[in-house]
Amino acid sequence: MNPETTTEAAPVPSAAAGEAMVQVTGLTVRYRRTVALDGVTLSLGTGVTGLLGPNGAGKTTLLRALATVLVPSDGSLSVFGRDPLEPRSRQEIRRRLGYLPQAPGFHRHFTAFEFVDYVAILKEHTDRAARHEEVRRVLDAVGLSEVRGKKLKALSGGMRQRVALASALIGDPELLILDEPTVGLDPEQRLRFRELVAELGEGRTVLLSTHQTEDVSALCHRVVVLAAGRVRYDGSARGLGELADGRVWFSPEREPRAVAGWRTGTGLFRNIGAPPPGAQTADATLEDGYLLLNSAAESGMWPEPEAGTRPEGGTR
Amino acid sequence: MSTIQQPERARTAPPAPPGTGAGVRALALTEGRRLLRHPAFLGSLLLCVALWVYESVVAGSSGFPVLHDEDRLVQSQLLLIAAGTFLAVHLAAIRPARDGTEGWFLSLVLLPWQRAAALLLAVLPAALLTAVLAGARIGWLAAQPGAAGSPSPAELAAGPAAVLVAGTLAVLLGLITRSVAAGPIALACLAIVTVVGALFPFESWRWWGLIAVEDELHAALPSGLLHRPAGQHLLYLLLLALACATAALLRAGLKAASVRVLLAVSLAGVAVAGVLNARPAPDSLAAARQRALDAPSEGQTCVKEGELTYCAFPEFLDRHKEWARVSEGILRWVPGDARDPRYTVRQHITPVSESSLGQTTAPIDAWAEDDRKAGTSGAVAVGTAWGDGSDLGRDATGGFATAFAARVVTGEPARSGPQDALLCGGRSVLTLWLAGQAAPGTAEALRSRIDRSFGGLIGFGTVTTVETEQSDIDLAFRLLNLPAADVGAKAKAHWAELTAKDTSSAEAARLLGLDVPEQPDGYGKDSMCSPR
Amino acid sequence: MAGIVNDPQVTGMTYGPQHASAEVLNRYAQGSLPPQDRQRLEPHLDTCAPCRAQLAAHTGSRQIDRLWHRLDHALDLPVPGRLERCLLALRVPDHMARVLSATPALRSTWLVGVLLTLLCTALTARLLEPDARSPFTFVALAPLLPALGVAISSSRRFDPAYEIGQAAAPSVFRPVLLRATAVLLSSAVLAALASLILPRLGPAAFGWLLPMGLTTALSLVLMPRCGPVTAPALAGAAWLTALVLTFRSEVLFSAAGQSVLAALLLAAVVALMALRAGFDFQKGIQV
Repeated sequence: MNPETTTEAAPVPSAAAGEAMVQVTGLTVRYRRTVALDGVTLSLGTGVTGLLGPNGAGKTTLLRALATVLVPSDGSLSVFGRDPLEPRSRQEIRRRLGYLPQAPGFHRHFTAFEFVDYVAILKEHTDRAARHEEVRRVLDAVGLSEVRGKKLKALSGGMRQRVALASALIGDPELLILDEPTVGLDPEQRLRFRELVAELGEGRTVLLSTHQTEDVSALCHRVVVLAAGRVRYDGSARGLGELADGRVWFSPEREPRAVAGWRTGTGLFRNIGAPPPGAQTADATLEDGYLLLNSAAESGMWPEPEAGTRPEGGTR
Repeated sequence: MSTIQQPERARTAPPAPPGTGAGVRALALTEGRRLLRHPAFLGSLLLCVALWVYESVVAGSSGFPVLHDEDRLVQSQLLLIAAGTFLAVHLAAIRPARDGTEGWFLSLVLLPWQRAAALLLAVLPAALLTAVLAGARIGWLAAQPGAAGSPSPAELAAGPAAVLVAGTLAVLLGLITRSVAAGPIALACLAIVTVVGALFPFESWRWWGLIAVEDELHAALPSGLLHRPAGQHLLYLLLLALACATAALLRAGLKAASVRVLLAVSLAGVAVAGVLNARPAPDSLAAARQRALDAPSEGQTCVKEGELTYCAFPEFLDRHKEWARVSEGILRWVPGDARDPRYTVRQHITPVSESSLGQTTAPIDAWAEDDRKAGTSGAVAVGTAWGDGSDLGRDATGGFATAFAARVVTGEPARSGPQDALLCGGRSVLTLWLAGQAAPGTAEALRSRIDRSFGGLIGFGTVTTVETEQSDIDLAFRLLNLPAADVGAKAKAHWAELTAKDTSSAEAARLLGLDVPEQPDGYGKDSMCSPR
Repeated sequence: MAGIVNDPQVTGMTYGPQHASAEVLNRYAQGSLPPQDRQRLEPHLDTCAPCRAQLAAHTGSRQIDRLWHRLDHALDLPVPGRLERCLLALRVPDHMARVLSATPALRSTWLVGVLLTLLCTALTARLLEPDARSPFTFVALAPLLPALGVAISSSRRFDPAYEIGQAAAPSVFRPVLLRATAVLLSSAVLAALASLILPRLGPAAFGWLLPMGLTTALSLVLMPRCGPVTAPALAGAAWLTALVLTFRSEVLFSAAGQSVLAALLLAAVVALMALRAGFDFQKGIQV
């Protein structure tokens, strides 16, 4: 049997305290044969929440459902206390929502200003002067005011990504959904991006999907891990790292019992899994916890059968 | 990427929900602006204007326009703009699919059908601009000297309506298939339909196309003799645009019942208007044309200027000033006693024939009968064309000058039959010289006719024909190189001798001051003019 | 145990009391069991694990491996597209067919577009110059199309796999020549079709043929120097210039003019053969 590995390692105060912006209950999305989301239950409050998971885990599906562009097969969804399936509420939600899709397309012949302005119009910002003011503000916010007259085809990939982020920021949305926004950014750009998102997270709900565990540990007070369409972990970022406490060790040889292991620069293997007795354990990071969780979700086995540390039966 | 500029500012909810209309309008403005700046649209616009400029300035062929024909010709030129609009709008319609922004824009407030609606509305400024261009073109033509007739608003509006159809069809096509190539291919199909329609200018089914072309090689007819259901056709085009627009909205997800009803109604309207347009021309039209051809006097107005009377279809009456310039230029060298006291010029149309090869001869006997009844016996015929810009215009100008000069020289009206139209000897030389010097441009008109002719006999005129021999033409053109006043004075002095039937060409040329050797024996023996 | 065969007919005949006999299984494994018996045996095998285990003993592992191998290969074989199938049917070698099927200027949309353009031009010729001896518009336009096709087939803008192809081909000249020839042939066939509706059919109606070859050859000759877009543009411009210069005399349509064109075509082909090494050092050319 597949163990129920949904985990609530540590309660997250802000998520509980703030009023829930997003409430997802038993959300299920089926494509023809595959089940992309399988009974996801989740509630989001203010602050930055990270969404981690391997490719095909259903991250994008969940974000698209929250962005009201996808009708779930089952379960209920409420954003700002409204039901996105009802057309009028959906419009209302979309007005207060910023969505940056994974690999957003760009109209190459638009200038940065024109493009953001175009998105603003599609968001029903109809007053011309106010809209232009808003476009300038968001372009400033992502640091693109210098190049706003340049055509998008002349901008680098990182700059285009910022244009997309600027478009998502239009209208100062209360809920910001970012699908892998740091793909293609160089380390410096990612650092600036983190600053920006951290700032946006104050007083706003930000849901950030990513493969970069560093982004999550730097930014998110809360982490949700999805695998195969289910929530495997929902808790604090520190809690995810703590899952791997005592399960990371160094060894001179490749360890067959490790669920993951690689040779580090020191020549020793860093292993994650159930350590052999007397192993030299190391400090666990969020990534270790995440890798452990993923392998558990795949194999259906938690690496260490010790009852005391096995985080079983979280709230669902 | 520093900071958000106003992190502490109050949470700004998006501007109060303005309702869907305002969003669509704002987007339509943006899309409209992009359309007007699109290279395909601008290029087609420039091409169209360049065509007009070339026609008017370089080729100079837009003189003496007939406005109730020009309003129709403008349509085919405006189809260029319709093509540019089609391409530009189609690219805009498939832009989200092509650039991969569709999934993103789905999450924004404006729904796909609202985006489609904005795109449809964005065609309006392009159509409006086209209407302005059409108006400017026809206004410019109307300001030309010698403009005749008046344009029909429905014909003028057909061009902008075609732009509307092209734009809405492009939106619909972009919503049906996302292929980029579908645009040019659909455009080529439309072009083929239009060209095929133009190849059959006498078939009534051509009204199913965007524009209906007439046989443009035929000289103008009075507007009353045209059969053009222009108003119905405009309605047809507008309903077609409406059908495309509603179909596009439906396709984009606006499934409201009213849209379906509107689509059904507009499609039905298109069918009804198309069937009504495609009815063959009524029999009364053919009868009216025959009447106007055989007996034009009943529909014409006459004006007397000096000792001459000019009769024309009312729309063309202003042309008599041009005709007067030519006739007076001829009469100034005619001695007073040789003049007929009452010369008349009467306008005639040429027979409308469906086969382009069938050259039909003018019914000169019927015209003589009609002139006799109207009391204008011996009237000189003039056509509906005029000017020095096109071959048709030059032929008409040169032809009238020759016909009038022949009437003055021979004292007889034109006859029917090729043999009777032949002028020989001194009369021929004098006639051609009179015609050539009559007004600025007439010599040029004669020369252009000669350049386009082969053989020993050359006929002048579009309505009636005066035929002369090449040798006489050579003499006449040599005379035209001499000062007109000298030659004219001699013509006046030797008028009786020059117009005598048996004066030879060489004798006439000598009388008029040309140094011509004595005619050698056998000269012109095998010519049509050799003594019978 | 599930799936026991109880049908008396079956059990009575060949399979023993309940399960298939060793002999039956052996014959089945060798493929010599009669069809009607096989049809009875197979449903039973599906449900009977011991029989399957027994069967394994009768089957040579090499035989099975061979079977798997064949299946594997059959699954991996690419399915040729419509164009490629047509080419293969015409006895074009399969490697050439593959190169041709990836030519942008042989896609159906391009071919349809070319045909429609030519038809439209031929009809326009009927409309504008019904009495002209030579169909000027048509002959002017037709040679531009293969030049455009060569440009599309050879430039990076229209081929997503441009870089890979550029790096992979040992010699650039052959595929470029192959594609250009295919473009020329397809354009010529389409133009010949469209010529049929020209107002006057005669030698002059096919006056586009030599110029078509000439623009294509000229595009290729110029390509190593000028690049895959500029070269066809120059070739097209040269053709239009020649037309404008001879507009009044119509000398291009005369026998003498066509002979000159033929000589030029020959010269261009010779030059192309001489210059073919240049292709391998040219960066702008699509493989």
